[in-house]
Amino acid sequence: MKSSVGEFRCGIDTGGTFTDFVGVDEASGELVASKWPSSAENPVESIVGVVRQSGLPPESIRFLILGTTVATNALLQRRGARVVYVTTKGFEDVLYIQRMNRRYHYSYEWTKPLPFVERRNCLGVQERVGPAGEVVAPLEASDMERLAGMVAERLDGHGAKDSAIAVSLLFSYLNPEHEIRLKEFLQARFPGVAVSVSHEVAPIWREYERGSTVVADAFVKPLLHRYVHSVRTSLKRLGLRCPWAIMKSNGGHASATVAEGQPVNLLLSGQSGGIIGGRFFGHLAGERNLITVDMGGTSCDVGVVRGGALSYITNYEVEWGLPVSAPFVDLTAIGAGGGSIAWIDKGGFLRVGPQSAGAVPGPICYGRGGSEVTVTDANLVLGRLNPDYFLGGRMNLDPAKATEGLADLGSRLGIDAVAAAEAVVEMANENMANAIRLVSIERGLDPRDFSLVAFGGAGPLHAGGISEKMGMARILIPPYPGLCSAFGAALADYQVDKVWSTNYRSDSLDAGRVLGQLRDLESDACEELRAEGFSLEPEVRRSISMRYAGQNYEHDVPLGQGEPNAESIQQAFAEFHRLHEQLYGYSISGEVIELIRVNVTAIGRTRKPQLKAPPNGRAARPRSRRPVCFEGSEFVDCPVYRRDDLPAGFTLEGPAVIEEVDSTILLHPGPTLRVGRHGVILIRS
Amino acid sequence: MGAWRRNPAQWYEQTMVYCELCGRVIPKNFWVVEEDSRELIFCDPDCEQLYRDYWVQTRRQA
Amino acid sequence: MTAMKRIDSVTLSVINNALVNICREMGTAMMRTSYSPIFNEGLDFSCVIFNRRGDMIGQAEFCPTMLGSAQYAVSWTIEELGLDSFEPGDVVVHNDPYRGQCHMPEHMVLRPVFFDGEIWGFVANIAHVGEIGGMAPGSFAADATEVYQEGLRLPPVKLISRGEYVRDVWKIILSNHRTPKTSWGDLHAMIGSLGIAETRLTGLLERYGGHYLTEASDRLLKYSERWMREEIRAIPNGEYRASDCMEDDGVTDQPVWIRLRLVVRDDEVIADWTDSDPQAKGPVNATFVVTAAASYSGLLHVTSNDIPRNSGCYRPIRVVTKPGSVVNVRHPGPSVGGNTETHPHIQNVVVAALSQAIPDRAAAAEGASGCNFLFAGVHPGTGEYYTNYHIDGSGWGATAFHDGDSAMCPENGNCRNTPVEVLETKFPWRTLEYRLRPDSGGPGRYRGGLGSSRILRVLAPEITVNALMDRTKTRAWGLFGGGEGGYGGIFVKKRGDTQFRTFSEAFGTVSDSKFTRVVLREGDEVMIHSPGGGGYGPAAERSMEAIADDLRQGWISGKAARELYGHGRRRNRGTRTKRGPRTGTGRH
Repeated sequence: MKSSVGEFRCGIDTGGTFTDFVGVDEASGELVASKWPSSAENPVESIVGVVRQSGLPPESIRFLILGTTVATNALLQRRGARVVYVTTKGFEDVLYIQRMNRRYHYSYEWTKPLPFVERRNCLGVQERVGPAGEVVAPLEASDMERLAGMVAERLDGHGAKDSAIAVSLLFSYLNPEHEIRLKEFLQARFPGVAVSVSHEVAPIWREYERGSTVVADAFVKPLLHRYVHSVRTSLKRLGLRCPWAIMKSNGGHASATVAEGQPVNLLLSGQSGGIIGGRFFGHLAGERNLITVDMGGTSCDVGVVRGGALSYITNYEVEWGLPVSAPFVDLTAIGAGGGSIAWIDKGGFLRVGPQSAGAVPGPICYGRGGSEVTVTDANLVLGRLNPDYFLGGRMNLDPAKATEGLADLGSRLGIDAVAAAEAVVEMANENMANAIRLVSIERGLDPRDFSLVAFGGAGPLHAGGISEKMGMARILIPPYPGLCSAFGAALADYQVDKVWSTNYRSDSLDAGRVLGQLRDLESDACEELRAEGFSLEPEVRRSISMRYAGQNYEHDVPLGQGEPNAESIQQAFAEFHRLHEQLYGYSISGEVIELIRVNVTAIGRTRKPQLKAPPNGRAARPRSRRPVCFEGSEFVDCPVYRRDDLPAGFTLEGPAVIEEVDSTILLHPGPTLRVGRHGVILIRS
Repeated sequence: MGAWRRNPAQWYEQTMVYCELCGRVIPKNFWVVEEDSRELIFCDPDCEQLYRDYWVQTRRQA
Repeated sequence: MTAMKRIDSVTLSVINNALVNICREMGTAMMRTSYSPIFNEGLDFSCVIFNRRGDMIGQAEFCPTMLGSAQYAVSWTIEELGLDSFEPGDVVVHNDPYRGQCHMPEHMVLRPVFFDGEIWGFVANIAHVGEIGGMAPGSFAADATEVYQEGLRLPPVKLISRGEYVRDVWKIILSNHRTPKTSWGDLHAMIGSLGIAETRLTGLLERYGGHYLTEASDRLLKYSERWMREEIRAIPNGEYRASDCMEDDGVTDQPVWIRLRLVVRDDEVIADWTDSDPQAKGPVNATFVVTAAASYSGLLHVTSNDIPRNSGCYRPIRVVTKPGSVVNVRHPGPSVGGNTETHPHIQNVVVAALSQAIPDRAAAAEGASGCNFLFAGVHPGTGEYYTNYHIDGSGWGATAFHDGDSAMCPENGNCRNTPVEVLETKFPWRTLEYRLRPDSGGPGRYRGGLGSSRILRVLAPEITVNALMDRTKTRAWGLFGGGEGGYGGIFVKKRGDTQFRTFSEAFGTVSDSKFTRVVLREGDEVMIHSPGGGGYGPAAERSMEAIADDLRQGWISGKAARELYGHGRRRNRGTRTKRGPRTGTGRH
């Protein structure tokens, strides 16, 4: 129990297995952490549990940021509202037609994904806007009346609690007038029913993608509303009076009220904290080019930080063919975690994941009835995990059972248990290496220019193997690797993204209009930040999405710092040519460039705490020694250290194992380890 | 016994050579077999084989 | 020794993934940089890696039609030119349907990849270039009788030699295309992506070494072949026959028949097409490689999805054709529709034959028409000449386990539709509707997928249109008692008219579904109906819940529910169809 009252900025990360809490005292840099089992049924209960467990008095908590998977799970499990979808008459089937393509080339088993709205509830309204934003057919009051009657019929029997309306009209991203009128009309007619409109949620072209996004938004909105209400009530019961916020997919946070208004922005809420935490510790170690690997029990998220900045993408697929368009931190998630199951495919190839044994029954070595070999079992057989110090000794692992399982798997591959364990770890590492290739090489980046930041319970154990594959020479391991995501949530900035679709060409450009649009977006974004309670000067980033006239996909080209002018747009054109050359190996000088979208991001930086540094010193003794297998089935005798014992400045040459409560660091033979000033461990090969 | 041969056509000619079995146009090198004092042209010995144990056996009879 | 083997099996799957990933990267780059909608929205292309012998060792899933044919196009190029003729930095282009290509719009570009001073293999992609000249804008000459009317034919020639543009060749190509700038952009997208693939493959070679990678890819080929043979062994031996026809060939109003004897012999399949009709006058002829690719694809649809896709899995499938037939066109017969329209028919026939042996793994026939609709004109907004290749999806056939999907690209492709907002931004059309057609799915225990309807109104003084469709007079068959899918069709309503008519009625074209160079005026409307898919099993066995849901969602009409499915209590007279025990008496 803490006695002194501090000023804690707190983050909560809801993982599949545990809910983590981290509080940092902004004044002293003191860190408080706690863990509580996650409850899929009642996530709010875990929040209450983990805050209580921390022992922090309510008045010492000044700000609380939640990473939540509520929105994502609602989509994945299809537990959302009854949605009525309103669109331009004649296009009611667009969500069912989709894009005409399929996931697999040669399969009669796959079928199209079902939209989050019944076809019966897709309604048409008479109106039409054309490709220049011109009104071709007006929206008539009489037709809106007719529509209201149909909506009422479709919502019959469903209270506002579990129903929502989504509106997406053709070309609304160019002229939202009809959508605005419909929104006002429907809100007045159906008070209390959530209404999502496409030009607000995703002002992008392509009617299927925009429609799919606005439906996803509506589908989870009532649920999010209840979740926010429930958290608010619970926090009050705990005596918390502080403001609180929710992590967004863009790595920033937004007040609960703003967040629940557009839940489509929360799909990566539970995942984006990790990369923020990874970036923070990378910066502490003086590194600005980072690839973050957050490997937990069921999955692994890989992200990129370039020159200190996150990368973003605008598309996320709930399942194949169901896109959601919103700003997302560019994270690649794969089913590779400690609990990932190893199996043999029909052709006899070894595979690992994406299925996971989860916490229950869990890996074989948990002894809770798990019978399928997992990555954790393989690590245990290789001596990389300590059976008596898993989760700081709170759980004992059974090496004999794990060996049995691996021997069985091996017999099907014609190899012994140890060789099989090596193969399982190798496959898991290869899967993660592939994810790294996706976020680096496929984006034109050379991973060797980056440091690998490894965290999550299992990240530090696999970092050595992955970095070897990728030729990455530096690995960083933050303190408390298992809590990095909660830590990231606590540190997240305010961030508001605004985009608007345009349709300009470089050869007939009215720079004034573009600059005007940029200014409008900027003032909208900054106003939203102020409404959130951010009172300082925000950092504003502007970019224009461009392509060669005739192309169909665009690239975001950043505008330089400061107030943009006609000159900076010209510079952006030059930058576009350069970018095209870099990404695709050629550019077309003199070609007309189309300006597709203007983008503004306003960031409200929050103060970053000074963490307490570990004491200086040079010496530390291993607590024990044990044989560990690194490769070729050979076991090497390794010293085993406790991370808490290692002072700042401590160095060590591999092989070695460093254990801590929530993670294990594996130092391969050859590379050297050094504990940095702020407690971040650097491994160099 | 068959032998490999090269299509003697000049590059500016449009003479196509087809495989006796599969009917594919052969780019340059083909497999020639003499049968009943007639030359049979195949893609390769595999096609000749299938010609004998499928085409001759089951189809030519009919 | 066993340890060595293990490393290999793991490394092997790692290498397989790496080869697939290289092809995916190639495809992504092409999508992002290309100009025509059929490229970047349609994704009508494929990316492949070959070894120096001409075996395909890696591919990414974009458009399957080209994967089977890539095998022939690339190996042809290597054999015709000879390995010695390639130098680092070369790019060869090739679209000749008589030299192992599928039809003229499909262009292959290929680049040799050197390692340690010699050719290790090739990276290549095949893509649909939207406009390549010929008698009809958009190069889908539905009434062509010779290849010379279908566009510019290119045997394997170098576009780039040792990194330098072969300008003379470029000039010849671009001056024979109607929209040279678009061709220029698309060809650059194709060539640019080859550079990316070359860099990545070289990286892989540096990591593993040339010999090792050759060895590994050889093992992958054998592995796939072995697996495919095992899959075929599970199919009962026998001879299975099936047939289908193209409703007409665009030049003569006569059906053209495709007939198959499919022989399963232990671990080998022989697709014998020699009973098919002689080659047609019009362009519904398939080249040999189209027939081969469709035969492969039919088999791949009913076997494991996890077999690594390389030349190895094609080896156990033997194709037998007669030159000069609809399934193996001879020079100078036209073939542009053979790849888009005849191709899925051929493949459907393969699956129909296999359904007799393995009913649970087969599907009823699909609509099987790409609904190819091409148009050209001068955009009133920009004053620029444009052409465009537009496609629609048709209903898929039902299977033993589920309904067919609606509005899908035919099985031989995997193209996306062009969004209405993209279409109207680029071309002077207004879309009045884009929807699914109730009752167009064949009735059955499992229902066939629905076709779509699209109505477009001309917003320019004139637009020249061409079409190449099928299944407007024939229908997709059902399996095991399932009903046929709905007819497709293309119709026109001239400004001032009150009704849609066929193009033969309105413009006197020979065929309703295949015509070229019809000039439409401002205010005219075109309606494209894509065909529906066939049902599986008797309609009387469809569950009441499924019928009720179909009615609720509007996939079938009340009339169809009563008459085809015998649903509900009958108030009017009417024949009661044979049906299983009735469980409900809903009213509709």
